[in-house]
Amino acid sequence: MRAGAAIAATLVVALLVIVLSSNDRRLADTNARVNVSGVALRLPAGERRCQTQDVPPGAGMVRLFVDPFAGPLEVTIFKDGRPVSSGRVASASVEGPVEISLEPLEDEIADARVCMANRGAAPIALAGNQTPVGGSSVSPLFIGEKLPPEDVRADFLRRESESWWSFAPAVADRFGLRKASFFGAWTMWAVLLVAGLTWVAGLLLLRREASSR
Amino acid sequence: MSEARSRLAAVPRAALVCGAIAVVNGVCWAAVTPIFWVPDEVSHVGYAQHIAETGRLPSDPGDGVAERPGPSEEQNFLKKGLPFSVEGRPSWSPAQDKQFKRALENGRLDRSRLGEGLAAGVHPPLYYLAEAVPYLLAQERTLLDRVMAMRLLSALLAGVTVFFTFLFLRELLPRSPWAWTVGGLVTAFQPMLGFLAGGVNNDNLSFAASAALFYGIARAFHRGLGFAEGAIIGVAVAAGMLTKASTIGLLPGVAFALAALLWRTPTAARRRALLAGGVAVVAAGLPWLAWVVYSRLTLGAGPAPVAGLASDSINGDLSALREQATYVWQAFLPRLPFMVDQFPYYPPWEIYFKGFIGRFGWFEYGFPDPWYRVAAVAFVPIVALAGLALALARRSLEGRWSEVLSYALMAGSLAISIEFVAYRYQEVVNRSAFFEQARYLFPLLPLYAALVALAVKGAGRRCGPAVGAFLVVLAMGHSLFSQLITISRFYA
Repeated sequence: MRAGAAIAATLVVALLVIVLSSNDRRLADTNARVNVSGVALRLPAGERRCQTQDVPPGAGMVRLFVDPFAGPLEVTIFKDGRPVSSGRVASASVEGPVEISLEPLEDEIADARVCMANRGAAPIALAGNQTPVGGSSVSPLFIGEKLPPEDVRADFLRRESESWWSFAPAVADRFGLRKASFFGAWTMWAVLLVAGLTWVAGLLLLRREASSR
Repeated sequence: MSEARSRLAAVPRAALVCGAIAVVNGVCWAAVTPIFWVPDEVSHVGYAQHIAETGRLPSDPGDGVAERPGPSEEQNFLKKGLPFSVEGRPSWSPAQDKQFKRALENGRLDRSRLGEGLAAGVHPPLYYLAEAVPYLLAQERTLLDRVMAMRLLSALLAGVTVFFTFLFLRELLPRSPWAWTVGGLVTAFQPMLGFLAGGVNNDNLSFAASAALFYGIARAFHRGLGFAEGAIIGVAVAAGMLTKASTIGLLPGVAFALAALLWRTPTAARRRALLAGGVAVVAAGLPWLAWVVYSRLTLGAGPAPVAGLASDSINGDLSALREQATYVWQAFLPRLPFMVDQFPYYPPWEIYFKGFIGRFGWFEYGFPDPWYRVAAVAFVPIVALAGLALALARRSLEGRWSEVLSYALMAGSLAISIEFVAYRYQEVVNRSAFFEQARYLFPLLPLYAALVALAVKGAGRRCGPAVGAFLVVLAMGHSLFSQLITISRFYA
């Protein structure tokens, strides 16, 4: 019995360590309401498009979803009318995400103005943030109400590339949001602990049953 | 009193532990999954909320009513304010969270309109009547708290499912106690069961009723059809039918089982068995009949729209019937040359296998594709070992063919009935939407547990414990990774 449990546990733990140790830039916040946007917003050459969006603390990069373009494309963040951070990318050769480094921001900026400017000679198509592929933005929830405008999808990424281990406290902070009133950052750790206890209970039960065979 | 106590003492402690683990696992899932991210949760919550707030069952306003009532203001507010949804604004801002919760607490928001619950209004009311209890216990709290309280009941029902699954295995394989525990634990850690148990969804009661039904039938085949067995079978069928009309798919197997049980009962004991069978039929039929009459008289709606769709499908049009038959065929078996292609994918793989391993949320996230292939490879030795166990036990199986056939009929008729309804759903309701989901087959979870238990048995006395422990720890890992991808989906 022990051999079987040990082999499986080794496999699971090894996989867990590999997955949780993988490094990547993690999402700080996003205005996306869809996984994949079904709407392309056109930004003509030489023009600028602005939207109001919360910019999270620690954002070091913004990710936009675009069709291929020969830019450059500039992103500037304004707080109370003053530019506080900006970045630019020269071009994109394939359809998909482009990541634009920003001057790092320490604090959250609520209702910031996020502006995208096309400095190239041809229009740029940017993915929207709320209409899914093949879907309509007119959700039944908004019937009779003013529809929220379609914005450019802008994902803010954290400054550094991180493993899940170091990112976990931020995940725990988010885990407790929009849930039962007694939830908080502690809840994720409690859930993982309790899940671990079910493992222990299961293994103890197996041992007991094996010894009574 | 002492008899009841001794009966309680006879319940294997391992069954209780397996059930308790499933409950705790369900509670973990309830905490992990954001509100309204379990399939159709918003509708199921709406149904129970309507019952709790008005004391009335929902009734479809029908074609004569031009405007359907919208969601309750409270539900609407919650839906719009939730992050991670198509409609909601995603935000991980603690300040906005506080503001949102304060508004939910202070707002005098209407709670009584059925709204989204109308979509679930096609289901019989048993689960929602039960869910009204935790809802009312938390009535003074915000809807977020009330939904959490309702989710706990679903977690409890997962425990009941696993408990009866364990007892089913005990009756099925009476000489292999080790296999009962392995089967029980593997089921307790099944991630899709846990995920659904972490949400408000009537499937949870349907699974529990079905597990009790499998137990009742196995017990009757093992011990003979007595009053207790008849009562378990009847109550389980009634609970299932009053929860979800798709339970009807299990009934051909149940009817066959009862007939076979009566047939094989010695003449001297047949009168008692007949009475026990009568108990089963009455216990199953009376509550259902009462619900049918009540819903016809007071709600004006049919009680079993699933059955309605199925009967609507058999309308005498032979070409439609042929299409339907090929649809059902292709849902499980490879398409034959003369058949029109009904699926752009292979349903046993895309819907049922991947859905069983894990497709979470509104089926829009799961494991990376290679993981499903690894899982499929892992199933090969399990099936092979289970087959070996059956081959080794073929002599004893000869006397149990009617029992095996009963389970096969229950599984087959449930699967076929789901596909019949799926075909009609696409034809009548929505051609672009898919209907089938792996969870519709989860009433057959006891058979999955039986497969695992047989694999342990097939590994023999020497290797069985190692194989069992391996499978249990693997199931634990499967559950853990499922929770981790859910955490990464919503909070990372």
